[in-house]
Amino acid sequence: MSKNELRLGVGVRVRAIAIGVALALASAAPAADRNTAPDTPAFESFRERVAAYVALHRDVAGDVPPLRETDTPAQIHAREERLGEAIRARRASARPGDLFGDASAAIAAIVRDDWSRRAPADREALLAELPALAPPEVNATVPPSQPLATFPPQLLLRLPELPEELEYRFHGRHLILRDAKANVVADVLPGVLEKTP
Amino acid sequence: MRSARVALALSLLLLGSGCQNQGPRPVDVTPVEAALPLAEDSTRFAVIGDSGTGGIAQRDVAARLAEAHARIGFDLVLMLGDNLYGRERPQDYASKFEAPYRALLDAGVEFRASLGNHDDPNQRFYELFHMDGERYYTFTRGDVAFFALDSNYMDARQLEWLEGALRGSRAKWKIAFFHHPLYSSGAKHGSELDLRAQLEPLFLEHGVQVVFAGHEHFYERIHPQHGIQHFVAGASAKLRRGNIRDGSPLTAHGLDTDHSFMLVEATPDAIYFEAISRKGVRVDAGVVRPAGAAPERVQAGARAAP
Repeated sequence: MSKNELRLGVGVRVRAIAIGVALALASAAPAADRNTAPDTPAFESFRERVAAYVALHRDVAGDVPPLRETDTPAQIHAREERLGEAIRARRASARPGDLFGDASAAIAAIVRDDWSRRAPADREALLAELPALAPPEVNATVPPSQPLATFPPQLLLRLPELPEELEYRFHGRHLILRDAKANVVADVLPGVLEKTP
Repeated sequence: MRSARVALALSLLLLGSGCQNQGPRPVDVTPVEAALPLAEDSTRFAVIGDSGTGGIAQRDVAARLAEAHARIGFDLVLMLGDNLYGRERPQDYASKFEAPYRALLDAGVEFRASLGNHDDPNQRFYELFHMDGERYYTFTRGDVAFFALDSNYMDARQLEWLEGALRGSRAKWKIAFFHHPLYSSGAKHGSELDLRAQLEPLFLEHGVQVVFAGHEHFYERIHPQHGIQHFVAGASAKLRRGNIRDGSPLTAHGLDTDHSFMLVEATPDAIYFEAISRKGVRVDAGVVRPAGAAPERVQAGARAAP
């Protein structure tokens, strides 16, 4: 491969990722007005980082076999693992807060405000689904044997909407961004839930 | 005054233009002793919830399901989530789903799954769960439109989809099924109020008549809420013994002393249901009809025998 060919290849990939970011931003647009997250500068930059992550995800996903309906569970398992490995490889230097970034404080405040408004019984019911866990590492696999605690719908509608590749989840008392197709921790916001119900 | 007349005219126009089946479609429920009518061209299905343990209770319930299949010939099973507990390796799909329900799968019965909190959302790609590769989806059988929801993650996108799907359906019966119950007398979990705040207005606006949910490991028929009949049926492999709160005003009928599943038959005029225990005993039965269409005499339902 010549240097020019290499440069062309990199250029094409950069353009593809740029297009991917644009598409991801478009698909991350709030659905109608159900989602009430404000359009603050911090949330706007959060959405841009999420869009960049999704573009990376989609780029990586193109390199592993597509996941279609199958009667062979081994294919589902293998694809999820390969996608996770590929994302980890591309985000090897990712650190906590890379995606939440300057929106961390605002997101934590929304979670804590929601938490404070809930009745004690409601908080206890939520905590009952959350085993005591340490904050996970970015890029870690979400433990497949642990249930994915239900995310409170009312809270979900107050947080910036995410594209289908990512979702908010509680992992213990920590808020994570979970890659929903690769089952990988994309980012973590430690200790957002208070200890006392 | 003129604007009021215009509004009235528009309302009448809308009423006569295909929107007549939108809005609340309340139901009455009559407990009965009789079995399903097995009417010609009816839609028959079974309902299981919290089923994926791979344990002896799941296999016992699966055996009762197979017996029921021989008796009434359903060709569809709704799964209310927690389809696979614990690990989800290929061998877990085999031991927690394929082996217990082998007789039904071999007979061509179609399973349609929704996702529980113990389920990897990638289960949607497992062909035998017939989720069309989606976390939430809809399908129609006969007079019934089914709406499978992912109650673990009810975001704006799913709510928008649901509203559109419900609005677009002209089915006689609209049935929603998902994991977390909007109404429950469970001492451990109870009603999912957050979820109810999001879903119930849509169900009422678009005429959902029946809702099936799991999560709670018992059977409970809820008194109709705002005209909607809710069932909790999450004891097809796990059992939370004695967990239905005594004296709960929600409970029309309950069983928390044995595992269970449901059999349902939908005809153009009514939905008939039975709840069957792990021992094969019919522990509840009744008929759901559009409000006002029920017989005048309504029998009182006795609490299920253990």
